[in-house]
Amino acid sequence: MPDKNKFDAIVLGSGMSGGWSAKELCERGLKTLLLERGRDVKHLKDYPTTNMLPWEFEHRGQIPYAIKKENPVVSRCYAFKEDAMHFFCKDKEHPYVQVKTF
Amino acid sequence: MPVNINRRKAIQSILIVSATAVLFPYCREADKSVMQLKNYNINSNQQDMLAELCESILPKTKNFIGAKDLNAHGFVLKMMDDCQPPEKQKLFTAGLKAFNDLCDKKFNSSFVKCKATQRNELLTQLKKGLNDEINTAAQFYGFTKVYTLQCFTGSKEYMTAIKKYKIVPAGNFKGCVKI
Repeated sequence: MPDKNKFDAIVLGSGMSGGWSAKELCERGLKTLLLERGRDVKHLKDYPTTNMLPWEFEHRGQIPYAIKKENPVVSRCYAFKEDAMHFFCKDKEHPYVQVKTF
Repeated sequence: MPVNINRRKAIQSILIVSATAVLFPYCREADKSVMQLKNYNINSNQQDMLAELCESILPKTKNFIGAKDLNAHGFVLKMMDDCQPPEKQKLFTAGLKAFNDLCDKKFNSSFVKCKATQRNELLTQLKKGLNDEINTAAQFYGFTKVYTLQCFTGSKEYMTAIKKYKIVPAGNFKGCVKI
């Protein structure tokens, strides 16, 4: 009997790369598990900044100091900017425990 | 009827008291033209000086707008208020005062009243101190210059008229042409 929890491929994150990889793997007949911790992002309505022009951002894309201080971990990501910060799980929502650095 | 008169008086005084309570905060707000900030305060003279400084950094020309048209000093104040840590905000406000004092000492006049040549002389002097952290006036000038330029190069006017900004930067896509 094949193990229910055994997979040919496990894809972490259903973003642009992960989603596409999972699709290709499935189409080639691999038993694929796609893991996603984020919320369901609906087309159009969950992209509030997509039609904004660069000069329409209050701080021209920069993250205010208070938000940066509250989110020391996600702030390290290059994409954590005014235009995309709503896609990130804030540090308070998903506390990050790091016993020691890798 | 004395009872009615008393009641009338009481209502009158309540009206006066409540009207005062409503109006009082507005009377206290003496200078509405000064930008309200969250983490530090400036007065209207300092705000005017900053506007002039921004305009000296990016003056209006025959062909194109300058810093004042873009309200660059407002952007400088906002960015300092929202995006800088408290120690940098302190440096900025201290530098603002130092800048005023320096101008006063050098030309015996406020920056707003200085001539263009005097302003340039002062800014050239401060340029030399940009890497000197103790030179608070130069640090203030540095912050102001960076944010003024960012305000200008990031403005709709500059990006559409000069940089010809396109939301999709590729050339025209022609579906009928085979690549």
